[in-house]
Amino acid sequence: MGKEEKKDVIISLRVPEKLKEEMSKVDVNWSDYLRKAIEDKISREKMKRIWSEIENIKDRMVEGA
Amino acid sequence: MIVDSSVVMHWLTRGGEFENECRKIRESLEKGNIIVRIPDVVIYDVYVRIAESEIPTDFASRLIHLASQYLNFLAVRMSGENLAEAIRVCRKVGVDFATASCAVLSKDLEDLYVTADRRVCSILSEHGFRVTHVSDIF
Repeated sequence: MGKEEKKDVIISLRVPEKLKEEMSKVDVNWSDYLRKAIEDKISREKMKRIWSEIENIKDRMVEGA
Repeated sequence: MIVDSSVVMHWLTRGGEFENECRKIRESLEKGNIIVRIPDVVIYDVYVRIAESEIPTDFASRLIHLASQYLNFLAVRMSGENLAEAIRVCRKVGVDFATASCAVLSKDLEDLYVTADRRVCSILSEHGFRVTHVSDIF
């Protein structure tokens, strides 16, 4: 079995000029910050999708009771 | 926030006494307002509770499948040290192992342990653990 290849890609983000200036004034690794924020958001969206299926099961259980 | 199987079972079933309070925790979590963590042994405890419930088999089977996917986003793998401490806590305090795991993880991560079980809340509070009943936060 081969190793899983982890390849980074570059994405662009358009922000107001003023915000870009503010971003450069603070000591934050924006790439790391945004990567984590995107991962968190994806997890939450996946959870919501799973939860809607759980709600569906709960509804059907009540109907069948 | 650490939650135990009493909270999770309120998520997964209808009509529980603290259903609304527990739902608010889940909604806050999904909005990104709070971080919720669950020891991996608690997830197994949830499976056992579903298996031992009166939920019809077809529904229980589907529910456990979906619950495993959902709860995996919140799972924290307990370290050997924390598991060892959980054994000490459950024997000393008189709570089950999954509950003791929540108490130990809460202490380790310096995070609040929230339960929907008044007895658990009372016993662990008496022993100095940072635990709150779900009805006290909503």
